[in-house]
Amino acid sequence: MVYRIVLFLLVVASASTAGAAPERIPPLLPEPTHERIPGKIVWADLFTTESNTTARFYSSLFDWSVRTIADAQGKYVILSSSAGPVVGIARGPDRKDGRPASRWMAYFSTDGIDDAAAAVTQNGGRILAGPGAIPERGMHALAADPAGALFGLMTSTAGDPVDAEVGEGGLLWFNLFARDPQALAPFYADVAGLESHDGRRGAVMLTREGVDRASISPLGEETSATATWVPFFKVASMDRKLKLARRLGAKLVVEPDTLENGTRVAVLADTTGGIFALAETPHSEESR
Amino acid sequence: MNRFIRKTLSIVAIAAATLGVTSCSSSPYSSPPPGGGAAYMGVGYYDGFYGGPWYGPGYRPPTVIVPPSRPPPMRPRPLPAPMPMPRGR
Repeated sequence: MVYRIVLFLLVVASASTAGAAPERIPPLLPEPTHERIPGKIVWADLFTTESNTTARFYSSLFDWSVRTIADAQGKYVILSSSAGPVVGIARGPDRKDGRPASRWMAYFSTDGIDDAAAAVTQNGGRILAGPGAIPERGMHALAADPAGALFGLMTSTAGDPVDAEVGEGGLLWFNLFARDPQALAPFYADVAGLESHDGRRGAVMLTREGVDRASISPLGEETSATATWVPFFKVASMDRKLKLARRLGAKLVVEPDTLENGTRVAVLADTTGGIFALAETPHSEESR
Repeated sequence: MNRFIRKTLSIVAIAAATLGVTSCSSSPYSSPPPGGGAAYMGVGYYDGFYGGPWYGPGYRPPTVIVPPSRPPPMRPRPLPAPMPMPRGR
């Protein structure tokens, strides 16, 4: 009888451990494209000390679903719209003072991650992690550019998302705010193969094969803000989304402004200080 | 008594092997992240990781915002030429 009880308990313990086996981070795309578009920003992660709080904030703001993947190293959250996965929330390192903090990280597609990582350090940047394999998703490296902005490199096993119209809540654009945009252009040329051309008032447009991929615009000298890649999420109505964002606890850090191409943009800080932007394009309402 | 010990040990050995296999096969990483800790890919903290604040007394908003420039939708790739139909004899 004793043997049976012991055996039963061990089988139950074994089964429960197997059941709790961590999920794997899924491929970048549910439907593989097997296309590689080097220089394109193909994914973004919010690195944060507060995974639950930020997941609740962004999912409430954009009506995204939340999938939490608890792996052996910590927590990773995938936020998805009806069109598929949009961004990730990665567990970031704790601050020394224990205060909550977040920062967005944009991932550039590369077909040679070791060479790209070597170019980071050769050009004054810093590799923070990797390159390493995340099974099913691909090769990753986490880095900081010479201005301190965080970014990633990725070689996705499923390929890269093809250029397509962006729906409500989708990632429309990425801009790096930095003190000296011109000084960073050669860095992203060597690391991500991006050419640059001058934009207005000190900004730089990063392109590859004639396609604009991202931009760098200047931060003022006299500010506490530091260089940061900022994702721009497409919204159907800026006014409605701003109202909701404020109700959820966001701070407005750049007032809404209508730019020369008719896009209305506002920059916000989420409840933990992560900087993101909302963009209402002239066609936003039509694509709802 | 010996029989009891032998039987118990064999059960424990089977269970330990099962638990060991399960825990070893669960890591999503090809190798442990450097430095350990709970952060994604083992990324470590350093001053400046989260950047300076975009609000508060020392904050001045940037004055230049680049208009988002959407890339054109990718053209569908041409379909492959149709396979020749096998001819009957």
